[in-house]
Amino acid sequence: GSTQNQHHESSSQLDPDPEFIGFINNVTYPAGREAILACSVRNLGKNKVGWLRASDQTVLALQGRVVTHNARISVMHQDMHTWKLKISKLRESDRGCYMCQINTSPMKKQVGCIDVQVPPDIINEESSADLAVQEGEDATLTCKATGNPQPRVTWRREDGEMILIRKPGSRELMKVESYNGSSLRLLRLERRQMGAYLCIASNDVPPAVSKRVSLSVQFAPMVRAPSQLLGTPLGSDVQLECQVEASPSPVSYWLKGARTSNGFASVSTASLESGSPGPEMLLDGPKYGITERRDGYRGVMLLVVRSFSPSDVGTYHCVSTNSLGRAEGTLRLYEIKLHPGASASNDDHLNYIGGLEEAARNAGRSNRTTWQPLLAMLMLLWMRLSLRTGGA
Amino acid sequence: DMTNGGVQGPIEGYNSLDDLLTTTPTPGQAALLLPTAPTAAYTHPKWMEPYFDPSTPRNVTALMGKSAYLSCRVRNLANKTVSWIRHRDIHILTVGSYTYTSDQRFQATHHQDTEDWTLQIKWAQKRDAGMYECQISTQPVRSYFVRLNVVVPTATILGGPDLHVDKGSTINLTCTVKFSPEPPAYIFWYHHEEVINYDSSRGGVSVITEKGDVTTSFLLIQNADLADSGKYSCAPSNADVASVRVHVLNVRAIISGEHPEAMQTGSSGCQYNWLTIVLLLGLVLCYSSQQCSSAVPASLTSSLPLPSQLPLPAAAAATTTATGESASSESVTAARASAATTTTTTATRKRCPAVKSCRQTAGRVLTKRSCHR
Repeated sequence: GSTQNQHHESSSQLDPDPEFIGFINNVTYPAGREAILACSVRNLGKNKVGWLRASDQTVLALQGRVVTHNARISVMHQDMHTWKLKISKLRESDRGCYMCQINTSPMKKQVGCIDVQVPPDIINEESSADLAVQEGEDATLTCKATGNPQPRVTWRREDGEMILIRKPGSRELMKVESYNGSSLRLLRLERRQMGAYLCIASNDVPPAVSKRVSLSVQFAPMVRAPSQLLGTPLGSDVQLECQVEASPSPVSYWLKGARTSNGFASVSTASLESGSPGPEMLLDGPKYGITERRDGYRGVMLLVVRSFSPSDVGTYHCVSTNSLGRAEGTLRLYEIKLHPGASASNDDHLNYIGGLEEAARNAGRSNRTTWQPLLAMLMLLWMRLSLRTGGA
Repeated sequence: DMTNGGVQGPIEGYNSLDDLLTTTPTPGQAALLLPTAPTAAYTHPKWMEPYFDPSTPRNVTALMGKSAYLSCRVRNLANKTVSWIRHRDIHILTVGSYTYTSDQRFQATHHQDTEDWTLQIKWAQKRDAGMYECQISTQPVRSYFVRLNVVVPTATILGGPDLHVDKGSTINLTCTVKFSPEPPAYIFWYHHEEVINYDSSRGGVSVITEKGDVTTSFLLIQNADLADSGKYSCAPSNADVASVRVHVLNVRAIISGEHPEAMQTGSSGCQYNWLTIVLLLGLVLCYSSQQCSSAVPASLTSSLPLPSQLPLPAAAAATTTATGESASSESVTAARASAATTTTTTATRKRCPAVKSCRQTAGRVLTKRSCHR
């Protein structure tokens, strides 16, 4: 015993103190990969190297033996100089700092850190689902994402169109290719902004992820008849066209006949019972060809009247209706005489003139303005101000 | 074999670790290197996880220079390893029964019957105080924390650091000695570096000492005088010296002294002044409003006939002048309260003739022309 002690003391006196060479390099790896921390030591002698996790002081390894029961952790050394801690199949929870220490007195230690990169992932619970908003209201598309590094969130339109964004307090709509940020704020929505938006989360760790958010801008139907007065010779086919804008998708149909007393062309039981013929709803068949094309919120209603005959002369209504409202367009169809030499009957002439008058009257009504009441109000205000000035 | 292993524990483990490094580790050697509970006694079901018995103390007090024992009791350890870690510098102390730290004062002992893993710290020092962690090598790790306090025998004099006694009364000092493994052999009292005892030249001194776990010594000095002021020290044989300073006061002299009373500072009447100003302003506004109300009928009267359009500018000018006077009077009021009152009265008197003259002018055509001029 005494001999061993003397030998131990003499050897400890001769051996220089252990010391570290360089530093432990911090490393960054994607999740699932393998991370290695290297700790270089000189003059280790009889001393021992230990690894632990700095955050929770978990003892990982002593020299070449793993202490923790974590199968993903292993240690190796090269000629007692370089001691390597290896963590395979990295998890996000492995992120942190690890300590390599030598059991000198006082203890020497070095710390190296591992950063685990995590691909982006979109949090569905905190992100917007499909939205249906009325025109003129505001909408906010939200997209929250996790990952390491923190992902960037970019919005794009699915169809490749430009995103229309309105500045707060401004009426102008800006066109942008993409928008950066987890919240896309759309103020006073317009129908042009309707469509599918893509939220793309990326942080340079593949793969990037995206989420589709469908934005439906809802408004009452609008109907426009490009040609309100159409003439055609007898026996030919004539096509009537109406352009429709509506969202949600409308129910559209054609009516033939004059307006009822209440001002709307509609099929009603009362009208039928009273005996007077109301507007007739037209159906697709040998006489009428009815088609409708839709592209987004826009659509076209087409009515083909085949083998034009005198009974086809009259007023036609294209009607479009959805949950938010109803709209109607009116077209007038008249006969064109191909033989100028033929004797024109007075009735035909009167019909022709009558149609023109009715079309003109409708046009007049559609062009009615509302500036007179405003002017009256302004005059009243001016008179009031003048009276006050006179009184003072 | 077990006895020899216990006696040569550190050296044996040391050699074993070296052997382990030179050769490929095998389960047998690993088991030998870090002994655990023998599996022959009973087989743990694999679903049973190790856990700590919470009855072991989490707060341990040790005497400096003596051994400290920190213990944690682990059930169902199976093949896991128990390690002790010092939290001061996150230093691994022991793993199993192997001492990793080069400070050989630390040693871990495993008592199989009680499943205790005890960390012994020999010759405990002040710097050894702190938090220690008993850790099971599960994934995730399980820990049991024990706080170690290292105490030194301490002498304390009650009532320190300054004591005040009246002249003529008795000085009573109490010295207590704590954290001592045995009572001190003696306790000396000092006054200004001189031992004070019952046989001192001063006389009237008594020393009473009661020995026990906490040893207490009383120093009584009767009929205190100014010369008895100063530093008193208590020096036990096994602890550091404790001192207090005693001040002997002549209370009667202090009482007879005269103390001038604090001069009282009167508070200003700012609120009253502001209230007066506000009331005066109100009065001025009332007068001005009355003038305006009386002026309105005049303007109406003049506006009724068409030829009377000419005097309108004159009426407007009069109104403007009245407004100007009101503004000036208000400013004067803000400057001086008393002066404002006089000025207000003067302004009021001036306005009355103006109003009367306007009315007279409105009554007659000839007078109108003179007003126009």
